Amino acid sequence: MTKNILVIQRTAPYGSSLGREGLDYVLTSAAYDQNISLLFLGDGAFQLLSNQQSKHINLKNQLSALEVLPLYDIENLYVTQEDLSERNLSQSQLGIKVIVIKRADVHNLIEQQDHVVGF
Amino acid sequence: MLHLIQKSPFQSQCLNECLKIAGANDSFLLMLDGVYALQWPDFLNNKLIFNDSENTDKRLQKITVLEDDLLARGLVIPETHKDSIVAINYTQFVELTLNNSKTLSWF
Repeated sequence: MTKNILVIQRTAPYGSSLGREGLDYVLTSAAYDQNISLLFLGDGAFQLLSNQQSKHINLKNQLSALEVLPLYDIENLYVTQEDLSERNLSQSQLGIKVIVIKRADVHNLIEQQDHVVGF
Repeated sequence: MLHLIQKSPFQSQCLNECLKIAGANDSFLLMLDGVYALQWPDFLNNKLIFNDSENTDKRLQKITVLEDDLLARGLVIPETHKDSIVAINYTQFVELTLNNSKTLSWF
């Protein structure tokens, strides 16, 4: 049975393995035909930055991993305008297509889901 | 003394607490997720660290960032701070610890 699941990524990409683990969860769920959306909240916004050169710290590139999501029909990626502004980030610095929403809309986004999983 | 800032200031109070007790002549190295301090206005506008009046020359080289951690995360030193923040490699990191009598990690 297909459910609407929102995965909330709340951490920057390389300081911990959470971002990577969240993505593993997303890809696994997609394989089971679930309807997945992703919200990059707080420092999770840093996962979207273009020009990540993670070879310098011998880790897999988080942005490259996110780039495959459309192949799994996962196209609802969200970030809040407030989180971007507070981090001095503009949309032009993001490496993948995301939907920019207001922080006030996050509650509604969560309400629309059957399940929410945080990483 | 040298402060090693290792956590994102948006998710941890590390940098905030460090700044509260840091001395005027202390050095700082942003490393690991600490490099995200470059995106934090409260750090870039901090008068204690970036005081533009008297010790500008003295300050030079005092705020450093580990280049590998910077590049990995897709960040750059902001244009406004090109003169006051220096990217260093691991060899220079070692030198920095040798040049400071004390080193404190914030994580």
